[in-house]
Amino acid sequence: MRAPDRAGQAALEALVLVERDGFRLDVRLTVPSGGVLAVLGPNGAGKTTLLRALAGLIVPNAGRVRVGDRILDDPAAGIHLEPQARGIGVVFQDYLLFPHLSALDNVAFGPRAHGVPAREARERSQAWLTRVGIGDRAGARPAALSGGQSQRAALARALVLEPSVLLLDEPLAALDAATRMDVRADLSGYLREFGGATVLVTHDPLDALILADEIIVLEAGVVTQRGTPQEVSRAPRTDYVARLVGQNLLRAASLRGLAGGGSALTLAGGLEVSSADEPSAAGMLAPGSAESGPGQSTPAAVFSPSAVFVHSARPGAGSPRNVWAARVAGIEQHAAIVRIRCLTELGGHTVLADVTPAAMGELRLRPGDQVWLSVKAVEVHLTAAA
Amino acid sequence: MVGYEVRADDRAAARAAGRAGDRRGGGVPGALWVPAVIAIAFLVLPLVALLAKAPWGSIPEQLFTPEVGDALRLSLLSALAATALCVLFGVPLAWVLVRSSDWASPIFRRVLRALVLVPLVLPPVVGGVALLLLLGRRGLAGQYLYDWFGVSIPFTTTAVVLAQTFVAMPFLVLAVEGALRGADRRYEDAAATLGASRWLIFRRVTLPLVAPGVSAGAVLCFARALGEFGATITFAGSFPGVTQTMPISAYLALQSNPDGAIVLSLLLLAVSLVVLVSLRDRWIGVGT
Repeated sequence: MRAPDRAGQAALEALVLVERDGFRLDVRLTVPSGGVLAVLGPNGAGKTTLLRALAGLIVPNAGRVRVGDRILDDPAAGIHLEPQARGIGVVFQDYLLFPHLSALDNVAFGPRAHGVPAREARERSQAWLTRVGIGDRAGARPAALSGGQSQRAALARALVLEPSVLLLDEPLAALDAATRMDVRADLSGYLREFGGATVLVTHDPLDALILADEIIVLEAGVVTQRGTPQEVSRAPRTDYVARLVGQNLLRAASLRGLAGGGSALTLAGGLEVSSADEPSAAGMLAPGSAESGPGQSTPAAVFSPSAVFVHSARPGAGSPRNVWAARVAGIEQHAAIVRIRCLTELGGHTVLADVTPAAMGELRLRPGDQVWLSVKAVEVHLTAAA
Repeated sequence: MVGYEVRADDRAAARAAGRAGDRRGGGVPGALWVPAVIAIAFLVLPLVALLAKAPWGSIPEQLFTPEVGDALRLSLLSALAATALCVLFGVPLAWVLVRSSDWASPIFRRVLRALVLVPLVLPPVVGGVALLLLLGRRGLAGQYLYDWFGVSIPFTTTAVVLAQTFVAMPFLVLAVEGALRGADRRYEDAAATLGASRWLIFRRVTLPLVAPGVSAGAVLCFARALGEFGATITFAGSFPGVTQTMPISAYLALQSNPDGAIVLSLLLLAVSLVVLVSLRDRWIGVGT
């Protein structure tokens, strides 16, 4: 994990407002040189629109895009630099390697378009193909390349021009699971070596958590959360993020401090949740940005499904913990874990609990069964939900 | 090219579905078989008659008469020239037709498209008359060509080429239009981010992507130009060696030398079959 120099000059600074056919995209982002920003969001959130605006393929309705001290877009001042003149490299979804050109000629396309003599362009392209590990596939047409090789060729095609900003649109989505792991690890290495600013668009939380220094979560055209991967995974602000990072997120109606330390939340329906965190933790995590103004924040409890214990009878008193009556709503078998979806008796809040298959055998649960859930107070963290 | 693969997949799926249908017990009602058989017989029997009546023994001597040689040479050259003109002007027209959706009103495109299609539905003789009225010695434009430059187009080989171009152009435009519509424009976006100018993108990305459509269109164009009769005889007449193309020659020979007419017809049939075979997997844009 790099520690980007956040105080230093931002390589990419953008405020993008796009309105098309009733859809509104409103994103502010800053990426320092050498930094990797992941834009995480569900399909239709506007991720690709944002990327196309940054690449200059669509003109924003308002806002400003700046790279270093070059202004690329400023609709108010009538400034819009065409994609050709921006110095921004793009790795497209599905890679879009030109099907009629060899891998080498694909990579050489950019230098040739910039007037580099054919021989030199080919030498530089060959060097880049070798650098991304497919030097021996230079003569192959895209149709003959595997998914991982195509991804590398597309990366080389973008990087050979030494752009100051690199945009990646779902760079791993087209790969099968096995290839994805390898390519993700390699991509992480190339991005580390790349000195410019990187914006990575993805719907896969793992890509964002592994590849990025900072994440912004985009939902329905607006940013609902931003932070480092640790912050986002520890303190999700929306149900979408909570689901992505596999956490329970319970929004509270009220929050108060407890005399002996820690805090208590009261949820809709009267469900009580206690946490070892001090009440201030719920406010501390909310950055003072426009998207998370105080009016939109709700204190909420976050805890992992693996911290939830499931009992068939009411458990006795022990260390400070939450005990809730609940009903089993659904059971899913994952690889080595059984995930139980429960609805609390009070308020009907959804709580996910992970148990081992062995424990599942003892509990013999079926949907509709009454259970007791317990979570230690130290496992419950406070956050400011959107 | 991606589009063609998808199409091929579709066809494979359709074939698989068809086989599954056969196993279920056909599905063609008996009443349809009779008209279907009549239809295919109607299409095939004239060609059978042509083959049956062909003077096989005298084909070589018929083929190598100066009249047939002249007509064949003129037909091939003029059809090639017409095809070249169609590609040169039709590809840009198809491009405008497809891409005008970015900036032009739908009405503009509908009108433009209708104009492109006119020669397809117009009786060729009418096309010939229209060309005469435009480029004839006293035509709308022809009078100035004649008065100022002393150029007279009707009844020359140029007129043959123009008549063929007129009737064949829609075939090329439609084929290229279909290919352009099917081409993924994001390739052009990718090329733009790599610094390519619009002209370079057109030349190095768009054109290669639609090349199969262009060649399919060119083949159709060539076939149409080769068979052109009505517009040619109206606008260019039938001067042996100058404007008397194979179809005209075949028609005229029917009076004086029926065997020659059959041989010329066989020759045209052979060319059509070659065209059909070369198109087998690329019949795009028209009808699909």
